[in-house]
Amino acid sequence: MRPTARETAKIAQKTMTRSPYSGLPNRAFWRGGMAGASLVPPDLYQPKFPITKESRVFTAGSCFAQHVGTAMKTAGISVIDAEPTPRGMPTEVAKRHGYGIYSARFGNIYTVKQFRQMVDELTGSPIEDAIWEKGGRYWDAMRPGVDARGLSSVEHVVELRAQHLQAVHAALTDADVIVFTLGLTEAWEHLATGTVYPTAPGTIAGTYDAETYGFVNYDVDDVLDEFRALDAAIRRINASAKWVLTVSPVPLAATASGDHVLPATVRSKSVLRVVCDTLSRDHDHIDYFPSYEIVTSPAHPNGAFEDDLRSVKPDVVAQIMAGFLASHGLVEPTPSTNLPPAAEPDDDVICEEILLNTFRPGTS
Amino acid sequence: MKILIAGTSNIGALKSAAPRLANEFPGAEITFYGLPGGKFNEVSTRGTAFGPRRAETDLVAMSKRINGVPRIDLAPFDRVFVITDTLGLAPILWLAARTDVVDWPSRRGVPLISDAAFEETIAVSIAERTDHLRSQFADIPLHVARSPYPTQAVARQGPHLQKPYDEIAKHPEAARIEAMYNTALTAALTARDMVFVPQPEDTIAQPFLTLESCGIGALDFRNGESVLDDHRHMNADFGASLIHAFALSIGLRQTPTQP
Repeated sequence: MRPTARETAKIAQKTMTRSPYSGLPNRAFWRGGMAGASLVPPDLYQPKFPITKESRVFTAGSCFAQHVGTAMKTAGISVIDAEPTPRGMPTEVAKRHGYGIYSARFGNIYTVKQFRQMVDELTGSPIEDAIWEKGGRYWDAMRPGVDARGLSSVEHVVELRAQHLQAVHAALTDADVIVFTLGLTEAWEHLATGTVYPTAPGTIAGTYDAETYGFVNYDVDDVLDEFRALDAAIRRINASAKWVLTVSPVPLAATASGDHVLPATVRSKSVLRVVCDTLSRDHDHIDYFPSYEIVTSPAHPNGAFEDDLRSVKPDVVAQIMAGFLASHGLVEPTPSTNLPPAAEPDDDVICEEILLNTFRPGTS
Repeated sequence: MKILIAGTSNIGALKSAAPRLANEFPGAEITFYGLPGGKFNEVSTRGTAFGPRRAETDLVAMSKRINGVPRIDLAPFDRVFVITDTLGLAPILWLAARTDVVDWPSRRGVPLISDAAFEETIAVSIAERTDHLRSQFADIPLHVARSPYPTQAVARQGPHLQKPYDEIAKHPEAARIEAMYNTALTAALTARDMVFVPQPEDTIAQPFLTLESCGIGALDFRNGESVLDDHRHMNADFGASLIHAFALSIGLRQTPTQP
């Protein structure tokens, strides 16, 4: 007669007195660590270094990173704003023009290479093919969304970019911690120069031409190489800056990879997640916060996404950020009662990527 | 023609001018209704009655003290002329004072912004105030003047100094900004079924500043006696000029004056 499950467990206890899993804390086991625990267990994230209210925090990244900056500001953390909203400019106008969203008006930085390009530019490497024209107006192709109507001349684009880069330099110099949300592996590059863009040519400005621009889908090595170059460039400006990396949980709005958008999304996020894992394991000054895991966790009773299956629900964002802040002792570690004010709905998040929806079949 | 002139403390200039204009516009019967700026901003129209709600007892008492009535019935009036706040001008002036628009030639060492950001600031700032004004008066057609620019006295060191007016007074693009503001304001009011009555040119010293002489001898609208001389409120000469501008805009017949 076969032993019952209870008898098997008793036998195991007697015969397997030593196991690599015995003595591990609850957080190491799904049951207890996740099943039966809160959505954001207090021991989910153990910071490598502290962030305090006095820390000077530089924020950048893809759309989801906007929530990070907002929550940190709400919690009273000293988030750097090197291009503050000028007095008199209404909030809605400021937001449309990239003020108050990140530590400077660079708009969304979707890829590591885009960030690296910007920092290289600060240290004397100009970006080639960085201005796009459309209908007699000119755009800074590195941040086409921040002046979405474009400017009247190339000279004006150059002048505003010079002002912007000064601000970026000041912000990075001032930073104790850079919080960077990695968003995409898919991008469009200028074939001749390798310049990478935050939006596909032709989305906001510029014109897509297959002879000039090409699609890239970075792999783990590409992103790691870019990040290491980025980190080295920043350390030349600010040797003590630390990183907190996150991966955006927001699925791709569209893929140009030829795959279905679901596996394309998983591939992209997986690459970025592996990059973060590698970097945070290899470097004491690089930490990883698992916001991606919280959103994609099966623990959400009603799902983590809005009806579009893409925008993260504001209450989930609030719980994520409460978890992050609690880990740093900046709010009480009881997320259900000490959430920061609800994040703004995703409708308010500036996200050029969503413009790709206008290219769907049947969309005029 | 029955005319209502309603508004903030800025109706004081018109109130003081009205007696001297009685002979000039014999066909006009003018009534005034005013509340201090912040309070005027809070009241609205229910039915055809404009003014505070019955439950707002302090405001009702204030209205009675100033106007003799708690509310004013708008129905009997052929025309309603409202002199309100700056209609969004303050944020526009602050932005103009503290930034340079990249498309314009001036470079004053302040942050550069795009022309779109500046134009959107004008549009949004004006829309917020004109929407509110429209909502205060339901669907009643209005003629509207913004509060007068303060006088030149606010643009120099002294007791009347007012930022950002002193900053805009030195702005190399002040005339352009004023033209943009007036164009946008006219369009915004027209879109909301309101007619803009601009501040008369003969009262303007330079963009955004009224002639200093218009600010001397201004009377408090609440009693018509206390002299303000704060250079934010204007005198009867200014009031007469604005009434003339309003009369012209509604085609009110004027009795020729003796040579």
